[in-house]
Amino acid sequence: MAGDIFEQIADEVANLKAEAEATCRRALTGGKDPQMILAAISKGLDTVGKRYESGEYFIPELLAAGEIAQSATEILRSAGGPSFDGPSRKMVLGTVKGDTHDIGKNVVAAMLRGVGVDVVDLGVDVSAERFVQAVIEHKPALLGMSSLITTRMTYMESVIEALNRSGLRQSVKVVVGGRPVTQDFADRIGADGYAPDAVAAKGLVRRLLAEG
Amino acid sequence: MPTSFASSEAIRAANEERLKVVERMGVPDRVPLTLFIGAHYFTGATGVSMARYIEDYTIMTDVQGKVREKYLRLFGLEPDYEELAECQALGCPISLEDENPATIRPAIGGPDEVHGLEVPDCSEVPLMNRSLAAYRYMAEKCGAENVGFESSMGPFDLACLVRGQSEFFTDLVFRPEVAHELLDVCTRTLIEWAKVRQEATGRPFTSVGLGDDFPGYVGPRRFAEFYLPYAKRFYSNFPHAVKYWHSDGDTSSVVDLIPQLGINVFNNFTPDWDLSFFKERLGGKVALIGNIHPLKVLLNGTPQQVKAECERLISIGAPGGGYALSTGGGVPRGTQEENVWAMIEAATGFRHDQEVL
Repeated sequence: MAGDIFEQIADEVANLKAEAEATCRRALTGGKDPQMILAAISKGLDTVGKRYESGEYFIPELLAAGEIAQSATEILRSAGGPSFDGPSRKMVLGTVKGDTHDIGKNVVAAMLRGVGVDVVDLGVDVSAERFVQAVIEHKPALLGMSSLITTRMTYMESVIEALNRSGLRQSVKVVVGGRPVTQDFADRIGADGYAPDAVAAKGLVRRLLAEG
Repeated sequence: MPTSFASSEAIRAANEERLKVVERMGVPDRVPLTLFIGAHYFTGATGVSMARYIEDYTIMTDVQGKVREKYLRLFGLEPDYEELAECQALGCPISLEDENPATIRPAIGGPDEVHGLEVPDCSEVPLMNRSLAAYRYMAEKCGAENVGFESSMGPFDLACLVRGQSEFFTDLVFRPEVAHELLDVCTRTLIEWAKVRQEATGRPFTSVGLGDDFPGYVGPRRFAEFYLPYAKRFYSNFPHAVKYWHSDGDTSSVVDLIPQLGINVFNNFTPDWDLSFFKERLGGKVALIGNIHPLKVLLNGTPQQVKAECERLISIGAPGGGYALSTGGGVPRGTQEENVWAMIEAATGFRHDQEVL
């Protein structure tokens, strides 16, 4: 049945089975619609998110699920579909300058890639100039910043100021996150969105992308 | 007119005695205070660059000494290299910048490289040598009794930095044997380093501390498998010392496992959960030191708000004993002095506009 392999992909992602990658490949070579395969991966990640919210899963499971989903979507991408190109689903992401913590950023990146967002990961210790350059180069719909260090999260405001100075602020929505970051802080620095964790970030990014 | 108060030394000594009572889960005559201050605050308060602070321990000593004198000597001096020495010991590249915290890169590029890691000879690690030299200098200049050398980062955070945080967290799921191997070498390194530090002090540690911010994020099952055995192994090397454990990450999911660490004191824990949560779950089992919110209250609040929050926390923590006031995490860089004084006043009763003898 057509639905079986999609259910299998969703289950394998949800249960952190690396076989999901091979199952996606099999579905693709079997002529299944890439968009449906992506939807199955996304469904698996939704289950992961629910298990995280219920306290069954924790950060390692989010990272593991994201890694599996990322590998699976890479197969779809290399096969040429569904389309990930264009600014409407592209996001530039990085941990701000002075901070080399990458867990939160990587969880968000992996989860978003798993639902078909084209994430350009700038890594850690990213300066305002690099963020601006990446916006010019990649023309993303979203720019995401993360920080785990109280004293470094204030750098996010410097990035937004740099976008303003470059005349790019209106072209990209800015979302922020990281353990010390709050909604109040996000509002104060003029960000367009804030998410307290990777699961919430997935919902936020989906909403902002849908708004266009 | 400001009124006179007991000498600053009397205030400090009384606070220290009360802290000893707290460590034994006793009820002191009033709740003591610990000031948890590190390099970011010291350098910000004195205008010294982070690079100079790290590279020159005479400057580090001077900077810490100035802040310590200002705040009634309510904290000791300490060779303050944060996690740099331990990370360097296992091969992490480290870069220093003038104003930013040091950048630490992973020591290994893949899981197979864990096999190549070995416990280093501490005498061959430059930042460990510098830390030992800093201790000797501080002890000579200010008296060994005023210098702390008992704490280090913990094995879990060290593993995160050596392997890369995300990589280590996914190892826990996909490559548990690699994670265990790495935690083993990190734990043995920290035990060796603690013994070298203890030897430098010339006496057995009366207290010993580990700081691990990340193990609480893995959930209770993995905390039990990947953290408890290693932390317990470390502490077992210091059977007569008071055992401190610091974690300002989210420990809410593992809180009931914390007593199994065999610790006496849980210090400067996350401010994201109210003290009442920790008091309810850990009170009577582990002494608690915390957890004023460093950002919402200490950095951004008024002195009146800080004092009110301190009084609220004392009202929660004091009943039954085993509680000292402090921050959840460290005092942030940029905190106004009046707010630090509001904390001190709440604990000691001393106002900074009062005279000391």
